[in-house]
Amino acid sequence: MKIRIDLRKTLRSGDREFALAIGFEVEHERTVVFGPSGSGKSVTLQCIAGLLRPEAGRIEIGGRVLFDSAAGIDLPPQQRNVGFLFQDYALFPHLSVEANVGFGLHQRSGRGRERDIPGRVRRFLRQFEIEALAGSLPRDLSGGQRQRVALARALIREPALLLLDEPLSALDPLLRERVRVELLEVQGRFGVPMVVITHDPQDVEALADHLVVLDRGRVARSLPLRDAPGEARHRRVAATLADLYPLPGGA
Amino acid sequence: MLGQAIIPLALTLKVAAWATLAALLTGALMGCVLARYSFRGREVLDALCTLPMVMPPTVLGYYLIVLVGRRGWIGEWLWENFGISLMFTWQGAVVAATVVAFPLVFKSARAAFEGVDRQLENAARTLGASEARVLLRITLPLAWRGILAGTMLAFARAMGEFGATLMIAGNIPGRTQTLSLAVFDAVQAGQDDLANFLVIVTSVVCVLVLVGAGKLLRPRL
Repeated sequence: MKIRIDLRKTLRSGDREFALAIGFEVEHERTVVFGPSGSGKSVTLQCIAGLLRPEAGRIEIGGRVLFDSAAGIDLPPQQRNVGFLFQDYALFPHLSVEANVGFGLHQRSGRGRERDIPGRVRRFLRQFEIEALAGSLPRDLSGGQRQRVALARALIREPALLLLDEPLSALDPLLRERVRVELLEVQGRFGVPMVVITHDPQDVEALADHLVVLDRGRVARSLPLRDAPGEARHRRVAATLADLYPLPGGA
Repeated sequence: MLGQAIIPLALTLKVAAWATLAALLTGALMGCVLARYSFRGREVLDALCTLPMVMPPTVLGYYLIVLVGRRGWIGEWLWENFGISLMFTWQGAVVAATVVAFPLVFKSARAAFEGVDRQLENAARTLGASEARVLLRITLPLAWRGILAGTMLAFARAMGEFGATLMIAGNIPGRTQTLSLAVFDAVQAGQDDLANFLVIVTSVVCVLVLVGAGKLLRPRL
């Protein structure tokens, strides 16, 4: 599926100004947007989801235009059909795991499209191995369990695209490797394209079909990685990042 | 003595209940607006909304007479169009109690709405929830404890209202004489037994309300 992003946005914090001008086009299933903090990754993701509004530009996902300043198109987040996995998961603290996962289904139940909501929620709880937690509140879950609930909640709506905001940063380092494998497995099973933002080079190697590197609000590199498995991929990612972020006093 | 207490007590509860309801609706709405929208003069508006908490009740009562008195801006319009006057009625006492109780709801509602993580509301939006559903399913359930605690304080404050009520509704036994006014009358008339009884009734009700509010304000584990 083709994702075309072109957006401009100026952010102000105090008297500092930060101009974002991001443009990239990818056709792969797993895009990783990499960059140090303050490079504009998070803003880019929120613009795609419709949570922030760019000043100008165009966002197109699989031929569907979500935003086009020239044509006056700006779909609200509710209509974008884009799943969002928040960095701290943003589970609703007052709702049980089951109610969290089912939250997004009730909107579409209008014309009986989805009659058996409880059944569908149960199937998802089983698939993500969180059945036993159905009645628990988010505060009683571990980091890994929270992430599964958040993933199930986003995917149950069958989004056209899944956006993941630093999905591993809230986890214990020992857990990260396992969750990377889980993410890959889930992505494959649901066949949903995803855009992941991260500042961890290991995420890039493990997850990326396509790497987009951001630097101070611009795209510094856009690099396909699908044809480079294993060692070749490792060398390519390492070379790209070393080129962009040379060590002080460099080798 | 019980009979002498029951009429002002019933009137006090009626006035305080209506005033609390009015303060809840206006205070929660205002708190939500000030927590969610950033605009010029927001903090000035916040100060104006908090003013009744710190101003002498007699000054408030005077403002209210200017507004809703027979020749007041609103009062004249009410009288000419509907033949309604709030002066020396229990409804006038409700207006006075609402004004003094409003800041308590407003302050806690603003803090409660500001305490709701915006990210949760955004998460609900990406899950297809309309703005109304976001408010009803996410924002209000997460803010209601704070709002309710403020509302209970407002009820206690409305029950004890004296100065502004006296100025706008007067002190007419059986019609506008609330508990606090009845206490004043009893003391003035040297009826110490009645005063003691009324004071104890008032204190017990207020303590119950404050204990309830404290329970709601305590953070969840």
